[in-house]
Amino acid sequence: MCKLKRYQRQRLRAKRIRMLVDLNVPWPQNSYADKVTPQAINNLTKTLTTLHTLGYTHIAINFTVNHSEKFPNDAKMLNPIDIKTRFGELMAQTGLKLYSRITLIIDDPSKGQSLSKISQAFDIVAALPISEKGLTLSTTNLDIDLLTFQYGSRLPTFLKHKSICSCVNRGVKLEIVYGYALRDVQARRQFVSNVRSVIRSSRFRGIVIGSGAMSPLECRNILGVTSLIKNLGLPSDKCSKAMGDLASLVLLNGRLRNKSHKQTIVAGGGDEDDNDVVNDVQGIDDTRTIKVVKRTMDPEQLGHAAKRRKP
Amino acid sequence: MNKAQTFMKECLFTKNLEDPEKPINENRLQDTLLLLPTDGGLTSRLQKQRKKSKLNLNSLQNISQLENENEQLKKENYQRVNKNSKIALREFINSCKKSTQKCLKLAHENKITDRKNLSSYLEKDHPAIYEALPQYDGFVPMYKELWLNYIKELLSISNSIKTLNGSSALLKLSMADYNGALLRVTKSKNKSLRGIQGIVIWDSQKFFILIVKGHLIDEIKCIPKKGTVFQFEIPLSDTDDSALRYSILGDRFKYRSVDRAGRKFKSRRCDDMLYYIQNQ
Amino acid sequence: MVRLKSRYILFEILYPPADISVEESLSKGDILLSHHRASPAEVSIKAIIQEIRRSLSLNLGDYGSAKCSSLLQLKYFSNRTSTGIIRCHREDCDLVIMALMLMSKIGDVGGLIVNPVKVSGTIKKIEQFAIRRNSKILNLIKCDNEFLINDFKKLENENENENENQNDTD
Repeated sequence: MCKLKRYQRQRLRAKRIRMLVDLNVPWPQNSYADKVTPQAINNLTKTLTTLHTLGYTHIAINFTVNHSEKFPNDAKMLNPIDIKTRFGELMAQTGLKLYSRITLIIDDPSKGQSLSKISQAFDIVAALPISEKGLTLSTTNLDIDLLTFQYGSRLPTFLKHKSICSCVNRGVKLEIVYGYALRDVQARRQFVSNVRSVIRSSRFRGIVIGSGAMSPLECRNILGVTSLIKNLGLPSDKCSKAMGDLASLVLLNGRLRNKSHKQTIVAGGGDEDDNDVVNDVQGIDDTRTIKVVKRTMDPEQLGHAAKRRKP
Repeated sequence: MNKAQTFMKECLFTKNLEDPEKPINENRLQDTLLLLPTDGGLTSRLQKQRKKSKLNLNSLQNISQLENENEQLKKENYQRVNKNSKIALREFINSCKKSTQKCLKLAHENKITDRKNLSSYLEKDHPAIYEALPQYDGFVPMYKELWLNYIKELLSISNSIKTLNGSSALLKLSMADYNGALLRVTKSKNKSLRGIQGIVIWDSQKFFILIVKGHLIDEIKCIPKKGTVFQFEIPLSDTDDSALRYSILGDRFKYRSVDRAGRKFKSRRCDDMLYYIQNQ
Repeated sequence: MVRLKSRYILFEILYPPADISVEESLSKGDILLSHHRASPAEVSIKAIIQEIRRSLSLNLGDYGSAKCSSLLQLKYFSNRTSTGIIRCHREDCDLVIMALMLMSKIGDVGGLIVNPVKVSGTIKKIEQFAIRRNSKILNLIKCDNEFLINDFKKLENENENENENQNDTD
């Protein structure tokens, strides 16, 4: 009887392993000056719920901004996506994990601001180069997690193996946004050629897939996206990793930047399930990076977990 | 190519050089630049040594003084002590492991399932083994009185955390000393390590050596830092139940505590830490 | 002699709520309910197969559509649950899924997502999977709306009691 129960528990846990990550759901604002309408928020929540029914567990909301734009000085104003107040209920009800992401459109590198301040307000930092200079800057020395392109229009330059591969070796991942394939014929054509060149230049390594869904109708599940990208030339094992493991590594990298000191000591973490920097969205205090918990460790406890649980 | 050469000869070299056929005069080089084989600085070294070896009244006095000072500064055969301490630690760990194994075997043979009975039995019949066993209770004060006070002082926690700055606390913790801390393994590539909890008795470069309280007897465990995440808690006050919780990523922590103090850590790509976010 | 190898694709049609202005509740069951709906009568087997063929020829051209259409067949579709099973050749399975994914309307009915769920080699396993999956979803909805069901039961009980009381008085 006991064995059976343990087996069931293991089965349950085994099912929970799978993380399905969507790194790109656009936030309805293109600059700090824009205003957010409640309708747009409603649309966004609907997109999120649709993604949830399609099986996604971790979703990043993407705020795209021009790098040369003026950023507000106040640290609190820097992040317009107020996840905890706006989507707190959704997260609690469905178990979705939401993250904030900023995408900087990099045109002229000389005009941009330093990233260190911006990156503290967001979980993930991505770069979207639209010129050759911007591309060289973002592949060489920007401290980012993700590199994405505008798949609806022509790529800024011919992508070279050397620059992209060195970028991937640094730990930066390349993003494919499949939302462009569902819009119109012209965008779809451009999407196919761009994706092929990204896949070729990265030598199949470090590729991550995001949706970029503006409305609930542009969401697709993993099976469909895998077959699409597979037909564009990425091996199928890399396809399924691109939405699972690699994408969650992007989340880990981004979260560790803010919640740890250079990836050594991390605030939070723990024994229970879902208790690490990535999954623990609610527990860690965002502004002060500390986590206060009820005490669970005591020197009088036994040293082994299985024996500790027994009364 | 040839055309260009003639052009150069006609137009440029005739104006500037004496002999347009030979723009570079080879004799010129030989006049000024002399290349000689060297002896790799041997002669200069020999000269220096000769100077030193010249005996002088002054130099003799100086040498004797220096030697005296050196002896005073130097701890007596420091290196040997350091080496010996390493050997001693290894011996201690090995002897502990052996004795625990023997002890468990004895307990199994005699069907003893109680801690008290076992200790009394061992004390009576096998005193040698009993003495070699590690005692967890002996290390508890090291955690309770030494380490907790040390870490509270380091973070300057005094009953309230309102003044605590999170990022600077993380910085301080990354340089802190973990000898004596109570750690628990939360995530690991090696499943059987998960959940082990104990007090650190030595923080080596690649291992945390923990003393673990067991059901029958206490054990010493060497837990590799690679591929393991440790958790520790800092209780805020004695009366309250709340505590601050932090995790150590062992993969990025592979330095001795001495080296860690002045170290600048660097973020790296974290492809090797996938085990951390996957719940197995 | 090598047998003809085929694959079966289980798909469902999701209707994400189209009206932006209306706010809906965010509980798990309600989200599921709002997405899974019965398909209208226009979404018939014929319309679906036509739409798949059109999507194939639009996205893959003559070559792709001809390649896929050799064994393409809609085995089953139910308007009630809006799930269906497609049979296709093993090599062209990916192309068919891709065509399903890139579809945005069926006939004249827009605002839907065709969601491929599972690929299998035998139709038996696909059926079993579909049944298991549906019962799981039903359970989720039931769990979520348990208090509602309980309330209904309470109301019914009260009504019955009142009726009995009335009968007694009569």
